[in-house]
Amino acid sequence: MAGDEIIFGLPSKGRLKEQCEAWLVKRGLFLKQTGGERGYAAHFDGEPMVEVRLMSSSEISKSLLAGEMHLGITGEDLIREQSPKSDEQVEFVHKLGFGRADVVVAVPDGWIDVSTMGDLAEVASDIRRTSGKRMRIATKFARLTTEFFEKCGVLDYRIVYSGSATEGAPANGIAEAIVDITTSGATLIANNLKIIDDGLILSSQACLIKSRTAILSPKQSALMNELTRKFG
Amino acid sequence: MIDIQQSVKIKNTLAQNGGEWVDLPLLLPSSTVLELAGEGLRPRLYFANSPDGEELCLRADLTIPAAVTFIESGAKQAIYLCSGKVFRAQKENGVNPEFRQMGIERYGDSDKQIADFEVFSSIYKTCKTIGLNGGRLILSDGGLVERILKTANLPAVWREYFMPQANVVSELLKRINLATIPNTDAPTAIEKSLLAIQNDQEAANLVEEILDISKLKQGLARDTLDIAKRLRQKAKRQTAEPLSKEIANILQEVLQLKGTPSTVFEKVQSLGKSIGVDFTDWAKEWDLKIQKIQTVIDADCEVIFDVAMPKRFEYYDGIRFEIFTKDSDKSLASGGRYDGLIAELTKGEKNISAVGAVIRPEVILGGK
Repeated sequence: MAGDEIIFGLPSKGRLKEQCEAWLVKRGLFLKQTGGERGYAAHFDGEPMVEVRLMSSSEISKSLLAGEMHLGITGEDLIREQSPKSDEQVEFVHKLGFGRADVVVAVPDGWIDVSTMGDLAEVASDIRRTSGKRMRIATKFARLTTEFFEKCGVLDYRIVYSGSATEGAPANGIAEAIVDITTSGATLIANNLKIIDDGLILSSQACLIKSRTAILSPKQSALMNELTRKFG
Repeated sequence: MIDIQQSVKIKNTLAQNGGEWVDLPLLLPSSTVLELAGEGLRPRLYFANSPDGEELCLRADLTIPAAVTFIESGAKQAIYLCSGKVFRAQKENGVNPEFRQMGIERYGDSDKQIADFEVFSSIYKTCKTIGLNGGRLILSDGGLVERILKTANLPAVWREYFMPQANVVSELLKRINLATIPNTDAPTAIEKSLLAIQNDQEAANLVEEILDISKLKQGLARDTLDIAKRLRQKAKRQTAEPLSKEIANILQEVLQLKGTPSTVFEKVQSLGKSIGVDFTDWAKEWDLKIQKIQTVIDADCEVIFDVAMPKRFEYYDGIRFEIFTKDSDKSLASGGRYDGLIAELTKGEKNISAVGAVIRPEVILGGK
């Protein structure tokens, strides 16, 4: 970040990108991709000092936390998962009302004896006592899971990393339960899983996020103030 | 920093009861470490991947790599002396993630009491060689809480509910408290039906029928009998009399006892009596242990007995000790007996007793 530009990260594709663009247009910021629709560099019309980078939501989160990007739109779940001290590293400027996803604990729907995290703690102890192994939780949210399970007193478990198709893990024998994101719950139901009553870890959505670790020059500070005024 | 002279002094003192110096692996399969220590340790581990994709982690202590080395050796008895860096992110600030530990790990001793004493004695004397003066010694008994729960005059339904948390006193205290609250939820129709069925197979069949009708699936790890048993347990708790406040208070008081050994032992015995447990023999055994320990420690070493072990020492099942300098909360040395560890690592194939302890010399000497 040698220049005086503000670096702004936006999701590079899909429905989320469209929703971000629509949100920005309402605030007078029109996105122009320099390499055409497939290009990953862009700027806002009439804002030459704002360099827009089109990236994956996960990369935007990492860049904001590391201070390599000043502003960006990404999911709260990704930020919270990637750092235990996210509130020190970034500021959640706006919750945007789209890109909603809940991070939840889900178990096989046939576990009719399990409806609370307390039940899950007991089942985990039973599994460890009878099999000598800890209950396996498939997830890509290792940090959020560890913190939440600790708070709920669930101790006898192991995390099995699962980057995709996590809902299939219990049926495939990879794990006993999962922690994953869900919007409608339809994929969970289709895979014979149910959400635990008090198993909501995080209600996430797309957020406009400002890095607290990125160092701003006086010019960048002035530009940042101007931009945040536009965001209302 | 530890200089060569100090290092030689430490090593000689650690080796006073014999043993062989062993090089322990730095990298371990993270699944082994997390299976033993639990996911609570994950945020403090440093991970790497092997070329074939297996997730590994840098050792976070010497106990697990020593146990792995012992199992691979095929021996039935051994005294290992070990020294080297361990890697653990600190809870605050993430500073100083690597530090030296030096210790003793003993396996398969025929006389456990002698082994326990020799390990403690070597470790305390080693602490003295690097400048410990008096200090503070915290002792616990890793088997005590389980013993209290097993023998106390408790309704079976509550004993069953408490036992799985015997090693995690903070969670156990929560359960004791919950057990005293009158239940407002009536058992469901299924739970009531299961309570009426005595035969396990019939209970499992009923659950299977319900799952079939409702098109529900229980996954691979649990069968319908597991589910039936838990539903029965839940129903029993819902219909049981709440745990009496009097018993709950006694249990909570015992579990939180911490003080000079004589005061704690006296209190454990008197409170034990009121819940039907005779701790006379236990207290006598511990009195003897304390007497032996006092032959080694400085006269001004403050000795504290703590009924509840910290959560991070879940796998200790016998004596556990931790040594501090007088003016610091930083642990200088810790150790104890963990007879279940080898069995857990070998999935029950080998059942060999184990005791060990490490010192962290930089706590006194400074540096990394």
